[in-house]
Amino acid sequence: MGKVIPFSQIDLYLNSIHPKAQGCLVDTNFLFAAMYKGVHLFSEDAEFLFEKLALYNIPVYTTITTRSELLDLERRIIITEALMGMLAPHSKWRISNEVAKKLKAHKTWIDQEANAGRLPLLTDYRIKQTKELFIPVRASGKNGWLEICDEVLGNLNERMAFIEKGLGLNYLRLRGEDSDARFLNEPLSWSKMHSLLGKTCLSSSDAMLLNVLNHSIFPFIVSGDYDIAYGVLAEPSEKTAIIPDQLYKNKVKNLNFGKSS
Amino acid sequence: MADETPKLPTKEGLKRIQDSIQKRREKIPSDRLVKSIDEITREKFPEVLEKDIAAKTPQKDRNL
Repeated sequence: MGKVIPFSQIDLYLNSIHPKAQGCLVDTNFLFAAMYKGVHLFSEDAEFLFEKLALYNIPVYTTITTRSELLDLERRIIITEALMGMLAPHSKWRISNEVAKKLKAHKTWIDQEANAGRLPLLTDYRIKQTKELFIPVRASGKNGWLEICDEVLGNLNERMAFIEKGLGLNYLRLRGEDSDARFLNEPLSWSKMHSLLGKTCLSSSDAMLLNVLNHSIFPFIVSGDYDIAYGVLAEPSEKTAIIPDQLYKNKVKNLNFGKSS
Repeated sequence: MADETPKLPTKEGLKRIQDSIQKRREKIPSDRLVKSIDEITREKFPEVLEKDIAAKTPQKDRNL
């Protein structure tokens, strides 16, 4: 049966597994938290854990789904920062009163999200709402959406390469001749992923990650996600999820997946 | 053929990313977004973010 341990027990755990881990899986939540100090609720914990992985020389692997999720988070936080910066008195951006009104409403919502301990990021729906209010190209002294995107998101390709290099991320290639099949104990299949998804109502991206964990040589996954921890516990395979102490204490520690009496 | 030598995480690599984010944020006229969530996090979960990890982790490991 799978197990979950808190970040603070990482030394004990890593010293207890033999042979030494050839790598581990990580999820988007953990990577994002480690990168964004002071933004994510678990950022200090994630930084601590990341440094442990570095100390023990454990390669960090993940899937292209996580790559896509990380890219989306980076896009959303950069555009959120840019749009909120437009509300400042000395902002260089010239916006209409209608746009300013919408951005103030977004700012109120973001503060509420932060107060509730959630990520202070605009949702895609809110970004679309804002995009609709901007003119596409500069007119009447007002900046257009395309030039804003070009300035703040135009270098996203270089940005992601910088992030992936800095994190030391290794992406698993799971299909084709050039695949990383050496990391898998058995081939992956959509049917297994569907079963995982249906078993605990996981999102498809979490189910894909858990499916890889279950069939890989990696003994553990580092995650900031309750659903991943829950999914690992619900599985018969002897895999481990390593999660932030707060999440462990408040939501996972007392979960009982034993046989019902 | 794929290169079979995996990349490794490094403390310095993460620091470079964090510094670049900080630098980007310094260019934003208002940094209230950053301060608000940071303050809230510390207010709401001081015992977990600071004390728990410090108490359970040897000092030498905290000073990586």
